[in-house]
Formats: sequence, structure tokens, C-alpha cells
Amino acid sequence: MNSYFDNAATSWPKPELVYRAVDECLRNLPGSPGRTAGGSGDRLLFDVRNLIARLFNIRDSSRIILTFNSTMSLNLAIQGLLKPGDRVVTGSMEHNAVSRPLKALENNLGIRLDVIRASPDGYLDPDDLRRTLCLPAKLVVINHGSNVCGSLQPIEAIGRIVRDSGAWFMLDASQSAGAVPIDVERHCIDILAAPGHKSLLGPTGTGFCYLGPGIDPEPLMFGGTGSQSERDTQPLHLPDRYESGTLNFHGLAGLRAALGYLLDRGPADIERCETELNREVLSGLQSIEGIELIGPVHNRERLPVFSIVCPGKDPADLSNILSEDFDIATRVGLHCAPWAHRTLGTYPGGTVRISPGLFHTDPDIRNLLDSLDQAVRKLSR
Amino acid sequence: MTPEPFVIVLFATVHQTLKMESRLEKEGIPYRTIAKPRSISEECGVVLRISREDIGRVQSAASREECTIKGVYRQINHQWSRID
Repeated sequence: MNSYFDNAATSWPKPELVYRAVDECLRNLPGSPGRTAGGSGDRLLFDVRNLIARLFNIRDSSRIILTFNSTMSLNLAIQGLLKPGDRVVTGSMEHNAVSRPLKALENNLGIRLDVIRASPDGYLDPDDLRRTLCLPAKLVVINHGSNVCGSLQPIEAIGRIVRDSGAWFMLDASQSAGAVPIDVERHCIDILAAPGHKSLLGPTGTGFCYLGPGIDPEPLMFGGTGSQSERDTQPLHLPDRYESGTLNFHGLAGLRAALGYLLDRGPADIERCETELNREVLSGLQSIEGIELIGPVHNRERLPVFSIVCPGKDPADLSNILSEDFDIATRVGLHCAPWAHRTLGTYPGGTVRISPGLFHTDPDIRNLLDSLDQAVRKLSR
Repeated sequence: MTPEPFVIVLFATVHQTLKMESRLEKEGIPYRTIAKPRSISEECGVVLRISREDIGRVQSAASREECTIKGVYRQINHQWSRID
């Protein structure tokens, strides 16, 4: 029985071939990327870039920068692109990985930050964005899928509005990459940031940042790139410019396997499974007395990420009962997204977040719902 | 001294070199990826060693892949000389 329901933090289990790929790479693959003649390290990184390019319809795979997580990807673009006086627009559902660097730059660099408030169930109104962009902005940063309540923003409309305004559109796809189709061309995405270890099903310590044509931030890190070593300056060509030091080679071997798995299954099949998960869990949660579902209460435009509270009770108590009595893993608190909780009306108490994954079965979901029902009854006694 | 039957092709970046590996494999052009000779440039990196008779095919493939050839070199008496 799979009782791990914290896939929004990191996905588990991984496909079997991911484990094998990491093991194979640890045991057998010699050399470090870019430093060994004919080494398989460079080929591994190249393969990962190409697979990411296929998944997200990216034309030039050299503009896919491999990182260690989404936070690094987001900071690479945000800190590297913004200058004093630049105007940035974002939404009120952002994770700290976006809000903290933006607030730091507001305080330290003098950028102008405008935050569009989402609805109480977690959705931005594209018309609000259109009105906000009547004044020029340099960058619009939007969290595609909420890590608190699962609401999915309308990025097709948002991307078009931002493109028409002349600003750059940066999508934080931390929760959505691998779960729902994302197309940088169709969605007018200039910068795409995602981790490898959530719905892309790879190991932790992996991620990427796609920089569209003409997007050339200042590097965050300077150092050895395995190229132009005679120079004191960072190379200008991509991806080397943004990849100093040794990457998580073994993790990326796992990510390569995971990306292959996702492409073989196909985005349509993945989306179908996610939709079915949504339907099953949502239906079950709505039938349990004593809990309140936070955010969207429908099965459209959402991820399988659910936040609940027991009115009048500390969510930590519910999470602890689920863990101790039923061995069910959830995540309680603010989920590094206080802005989202303020929008949803659950600040500062937080919620219990339940996030099933691609490999949960019907019995796993029934066990979750039965256990939750019993836990709520116990809490209410 | 007869020049080696091989030449080496230097591309603009490692990324382009890897793109060309895939292209040459698809087109059945034999190659080997080797360390870039220091006498050519002090940059770290790799080059593709190919048969001299395949230079034209590789140049065409590079054009199709939008990859930039920075130089083609042959070795005579252990010295590398640029030929294109």
C-alpha cells in the first residue's frame, strides 16, 4: 500500500528505470561532463536537454540550462535579468522561490513589484493582468500550478497578454511540468523553470531553466565550465555560461530515464491519469464530514494537490493522526507559500496538503479516504 | 611524410559538437570524439576526428544543423595544421 501523499514536495515512487539509471551511472559511467575526451558525461547532459526540448517544444536545446532545482532556476532568471527601476508583475499565489527573490530585489535593487491578487479559490483573472500591463513591465512571473491548492492558471491567455505587452513571460512550472502539457511556443513562454524531481519523476538535485532567444541574464555563478579555460571571463555561449562547476551527473542520469518514460507514455496519457486522480480524490474528500476543501472544488484546471482544514482544529493534529495512526504522509503548514495561504484565507494556520502521485492505485486512494475519515472523527471527539 | 588519413573538425561549442555526433551517426559518417589538441587552441573541449574524404559531407551536415565549424586540421609529423 502506497501511503505517501506528499508528491507536491517530491514524487515517489519513481519509475523503476530511474533507479536503474542512477545505479548504472554511479557504477559504470566514467568521466566528468566536458572534461574527458569522448566522455559519456557530455552526451548525458545533451540527451537530457534534448528530451526536455521535446517535452516542452523548445527549438534550441542549448538554451536549456541544467540546474539543481527549480529555486535555482528561478533565481538564475530573476536575479540575473532585473536591473534597478525594472517593473515586475506577479500573482498572489507565488511560492517563496519567486516571492523572496523579488522582495529582496525590491528592497535592495529598487525594482517595482506589482502583485495581482488571485480569487479566493486561487485563480488569476487574465483581465486583471491585461489592465496591470497597461503600464510597461520588464517581466511577468507566474506560478502555473499552486503547490497549496492545485489551481492551474490560464497560461494560454496569460502568455498571449504578456507577449502583446512586450514583457517577458516567466513560468514557474514547479508543480505542473510533467503533469500537464506545456508548450513554450503556444503559451508564449520566454523563461521556463522546473525541477526534475516532482512530476518529471527524476531524482532530487535536478532541474532546468529554459532561456528563450534574447534572454541573457547575468550569470549567478562563475567558475569552471570545461570550455575557454584560458580566459578569466565566463564564456558567452550557452549553456556553458550558466553551468559552472560539476552538475548532479548521477541525478541527471535518472532524469534522462524519467523524461524518456514520460515521453513514451505520452502527455495525453499522463494528463488522463492526473484527471482521474483529481476526480477520485476530490469526490472522496467532498464526502467526508468535518473537513473543508480549500481552493478549487472542481475537477477542471487543477492539479492533484488538495488542501484541507478541520474548522477550529490545528491542521498539525490532523496530519499527526494520519501519520501515527495510519502511516499516511501529508504536509502541514504554509508550504513555503504564505502569499497563497493569504489569498486562500488560510494564513497563518495553514492547511494539511494531500498530493497523490501518478502511481497511486484505487486501493491506495480508498485507504487514504477511509483513514482521513477516521482521523477526522478521532480529532472531533 | 604522408599526412594522416584523418582530420579533426573543431566546432564552436561542446553542445554543437554533440549535435554533430548525432547527425553523423544518422548519416552513417564514421567519427571519433577526441580531446582537442592543445596546439590548436588552449580551450578545453573535444573535436570530431573524421576521414579526410568525409570533409565535404561533414561540412554539409554542419550547415544543415546550423553548427559552426571553427576549423578543420590535419596532422603532419605530429603537428596540426589548419586546412580549412
